[in-house]
Amino acid sequence: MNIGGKLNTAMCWTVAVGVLAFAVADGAVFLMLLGVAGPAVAYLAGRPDPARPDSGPWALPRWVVSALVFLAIASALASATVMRDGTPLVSNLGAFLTYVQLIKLFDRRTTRDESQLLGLSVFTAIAAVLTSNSLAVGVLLAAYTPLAVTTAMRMEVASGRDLGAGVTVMTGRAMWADLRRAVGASVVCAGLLAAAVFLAAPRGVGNDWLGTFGAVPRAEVGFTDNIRLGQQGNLNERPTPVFEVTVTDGDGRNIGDPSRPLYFRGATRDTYDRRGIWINSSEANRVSKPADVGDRVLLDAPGPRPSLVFQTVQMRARIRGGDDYVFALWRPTSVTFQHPVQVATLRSDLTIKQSESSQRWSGRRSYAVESALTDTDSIDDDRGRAGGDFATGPISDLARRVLAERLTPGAAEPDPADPLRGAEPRQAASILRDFLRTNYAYTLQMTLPREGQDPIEMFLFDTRRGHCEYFASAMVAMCQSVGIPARIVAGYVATEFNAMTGQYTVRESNAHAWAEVRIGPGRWLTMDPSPPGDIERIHAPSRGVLARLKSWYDLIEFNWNEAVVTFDSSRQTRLFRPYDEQSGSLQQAMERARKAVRRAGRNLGLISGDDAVSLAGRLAWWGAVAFVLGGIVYLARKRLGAAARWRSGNAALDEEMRGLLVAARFYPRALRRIERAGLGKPRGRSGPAHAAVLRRRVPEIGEPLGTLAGMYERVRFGRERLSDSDVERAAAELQRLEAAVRLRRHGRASKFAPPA
Amino acid sequence: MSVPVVVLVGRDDGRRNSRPFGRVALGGMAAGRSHSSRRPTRVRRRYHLRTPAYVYMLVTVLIAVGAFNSQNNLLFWAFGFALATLVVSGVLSGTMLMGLEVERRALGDARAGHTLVLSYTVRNRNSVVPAFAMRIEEIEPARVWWRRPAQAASPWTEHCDRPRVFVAHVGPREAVSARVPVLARRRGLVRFEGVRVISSFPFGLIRKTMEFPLPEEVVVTPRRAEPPARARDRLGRAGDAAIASRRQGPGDEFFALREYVEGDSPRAIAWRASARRMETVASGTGLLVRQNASPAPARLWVVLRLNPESAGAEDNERAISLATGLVEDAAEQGLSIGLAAPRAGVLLRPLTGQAAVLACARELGMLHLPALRASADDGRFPAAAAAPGALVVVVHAGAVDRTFGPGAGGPLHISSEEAGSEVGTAAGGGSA
Repeated sequence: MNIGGKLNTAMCWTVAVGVLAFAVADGAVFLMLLGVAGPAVAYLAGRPDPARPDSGPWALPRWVVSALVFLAIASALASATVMRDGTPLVSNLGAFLTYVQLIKLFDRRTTRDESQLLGLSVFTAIAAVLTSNSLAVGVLLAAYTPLAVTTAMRMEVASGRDLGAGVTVMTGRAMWADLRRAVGASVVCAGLLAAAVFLAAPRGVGNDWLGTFGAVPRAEVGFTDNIRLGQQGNLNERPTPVFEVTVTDGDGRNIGDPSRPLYFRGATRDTYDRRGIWINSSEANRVSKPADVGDRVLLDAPGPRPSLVFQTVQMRARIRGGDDYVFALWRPTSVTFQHPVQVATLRSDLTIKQSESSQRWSGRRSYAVESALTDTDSIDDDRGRAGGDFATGPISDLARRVLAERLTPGAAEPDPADPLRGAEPRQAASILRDFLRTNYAYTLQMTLPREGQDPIEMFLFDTRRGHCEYFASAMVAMCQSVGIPARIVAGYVATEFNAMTGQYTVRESNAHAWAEVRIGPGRWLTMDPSPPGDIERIHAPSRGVLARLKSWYDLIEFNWNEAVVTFDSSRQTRLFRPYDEQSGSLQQAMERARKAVRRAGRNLGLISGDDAVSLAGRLAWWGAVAFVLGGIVYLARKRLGAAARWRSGNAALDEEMRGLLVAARFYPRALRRIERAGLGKPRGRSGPAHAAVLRRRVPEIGEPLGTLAGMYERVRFGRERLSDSDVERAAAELQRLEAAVRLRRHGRASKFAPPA
Repeated sequence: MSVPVVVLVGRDDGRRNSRPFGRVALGGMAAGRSHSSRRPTRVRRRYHLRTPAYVYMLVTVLIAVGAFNSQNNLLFWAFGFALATLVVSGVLSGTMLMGLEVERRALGDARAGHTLVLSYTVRNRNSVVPAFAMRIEEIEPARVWWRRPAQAASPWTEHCDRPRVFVAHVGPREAVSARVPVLARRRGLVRFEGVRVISSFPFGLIRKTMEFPLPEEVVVTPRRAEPPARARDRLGRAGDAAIASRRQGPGDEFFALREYVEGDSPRAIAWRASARRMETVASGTGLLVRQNASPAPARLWVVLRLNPESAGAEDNERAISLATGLVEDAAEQGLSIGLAAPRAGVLLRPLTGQAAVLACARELGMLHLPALRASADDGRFPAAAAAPGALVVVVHAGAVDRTFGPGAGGPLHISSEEAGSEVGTAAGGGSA
């Protein structure tokens, strides 16, 4: 393929990957299709015609290109000014750049046009960075970088065509292989330098000076504390990750278990207003204060003999349109933030809201919550309402009847004075929960109640079907109707445990509502009245190959977020902390080295061990091994390559000639030596002719080369067998030549050099 | 038949002006030396930021501002990569050009209106880094930065088109060479100063330039103008009369017999004559050896009467072309040709064959018209050309002055206005 064809190929790939990166970042499916189809067609159209090698690639007429570009500009301007459909400016700009690139792919291609095209493509990639920092965008940009470098270099190599007709183009051997190496070396070096800049660039400096310039819109999820029943439609089942959480016990052991769902509570609601809306009666008591990085906010005393559970939550998305809750297992006792926030705590239900502090934070948003699983009696308050609007009415009647039936079998009539009939609240709440689980069906479809009908009553007495909010509402309403304080909890149920990362991944589709029932002074019990089978069906992570691939993708995405997206000043500080601070004594360093070696062995599968081996570590180690082995193979190939070329060059010769040439191996060796000295023999010049040229320039090399070339030609073209004296003389001449080459290259003679 | 000629003269050929007359024709079709085979003592490297580089740096700054303002980590990556690209570009291109050597050598024949072939060899002495995308240019005389002695030769820009060479790739420890034809527009002693290598590889941001002093001089010989018919007839007759004077030589015709001496070829023995002689002479070997004769060529003097006034430059050039045509035609006729241009101080002793053509073309090519001497003494007919028996053709630049001549015998006077069509005019470039 000629230079133009190679450049066209690289350019089409670059444009395609750049457009795809932006389209993926922007979630624009149409642009994705264009990004694949446009460059593919341009590639086919831009291939040189074998029948007409002198003709250029096919191109649109100039006026058509100009008209299309004008249309793209007009469309972008209209979209940004007149239509104002809420699309971010970067999205409009990226789409405009995409259209112009696709048009220019079919334009005539001078080096100037190619430069413009590459520039547009680079701007599109920057637009992708400004649109999203997702793993997919990162992968595409990682692929884009070498492509762009390749295109830029090929463009330079092809720039000779701008000199016009009649230009003499000189090309050496293996140009494309050398260009590939140059691209590889440039990308590696630039990548290392970029990594250094990335790690060393001060974080936090200049933050938010110019507003939203350069800010990436973060993913938002649909969690809401607004529990409103009686609406029509379907619940959200989007798999967008909301946060990842690691759960450990007091000894630091990971207690995650795929068979053990965990309920991460966010908001609570305890008051029903008969219009289908639940509110928090204590919301006004919420206390707000700022918390900086590392600040520990105390919520409650853990009580005696607490069974502490630590949850490290890393947020992946913001909660759409409002306050962001801290998600934690019951009962949270303290929270430590790794980003500056404004914290609003409510002691009555131990819920925490976090909102942006005055300092905008673009780094990692995570917090660690400490929860005491063993509940406490130390705090006795009146948290949680009982009775309220449900003290009378059909819901109360239903609850009393159910309790009467279950607590005292055969007693059909409830006792208005003691609906619990002396039973413990835990037992009564369990009866109500089981009643709901067994007599009502779970569905994600929401039905609109009749005019004036209460949604909870509709669920309990009419449709007998509903989603988790209906079950939780019914449970809370029935508990409150019989005097058991209860409240609705909105949060997430974590079921997707990734054994490779040791984390639960919580997605938007894991949003859930359940109930908390007060079973004693300060003691609240989490109760989920939704049918467990349905909950498992809905929230359980899918199995199979795709699910496994997904978990791997999640792992990589997690590491991407950890290493790149959320890299912040705190991690930077840890990274650059002096070695002695990190390491301590020499013995500790030795111990760490020993552990590192053992870890390497485990990662490579050479040593069996109990510790969990992370996939990232394993990949990194095997990558390092592959790199070293690859280097050895490369060097060996380079060494053996010359001999192989000599053999392959002689493959077409007859057996006798090959035998004769064995004695003339001094000649290729001599050629390699002079090539190292920068005196390589150009193509098309015979050995004796080259020796004659060198004899004038560098006689100390030209003379022995002439002798060796003459002897070689006697063998190769005269079928002459070299005598022993010839071989001895060739060896001496080769030694002389090598000494001269060494002297020329290093300015010193070999100690084995023969006397002149 | 026209014989295009190029003569290469090395800069340090100090003898060029020390023997103004009677220079022996250079052997072969082209000869000479240049400094190209020497490693240049000093090479100048320069770096220029191109317009895309300024745009690139502006974008880099914007990326940096965006990164610091938003703390967007991918923007930090982009910023790092943008900076790294600049560094890699500088390092790679610097390393790439560091090991380069360039040679330039003029090859083959050059006549005004024809192509002059320059051979460029680019050698990459670097053992690791290949070199890519280099444009090679001849350095314009106005851009020469190194010290050089005063030169009579005129710069190449007045004589030749610009050579256009692009080196796409030279591998490590590799050399590539190419022959580049350029149109030689007018005759003269042409001076090439040096070679510039330009590259903006790898990213087109920084233009790197290396300049190699490679002085080299080339003589571009004049165009040939067809002599008028009467001159051609005269030359033809002179050629036919070339047998008038004979001498022993390597010809085919019999010249004389002589005594055999030891070492003579047996094939040269005239056996019949020797037998007859042995019948009459009793002493000695009696063998006779046959000697052949070679024709003694008639002598032609081409005397160029140039006009020292600047207004006559065009006539002078036409006269030079006409003289070139006369010399070539006379060489074909086997004449011995001498050349004289009194006002230019040129007197070339008679030579025959290609040697005459080469020497005359070289002298005619190097005639420096602005240096013509206008004094009456310098304008006199050269005495050497006034020898009896020689055919003299006086080529006048402009009108014929019949008083100009040896006095005895009538030289053939030709005016430059009688010159026929010039060879090479159609190839481009006007007559100088």
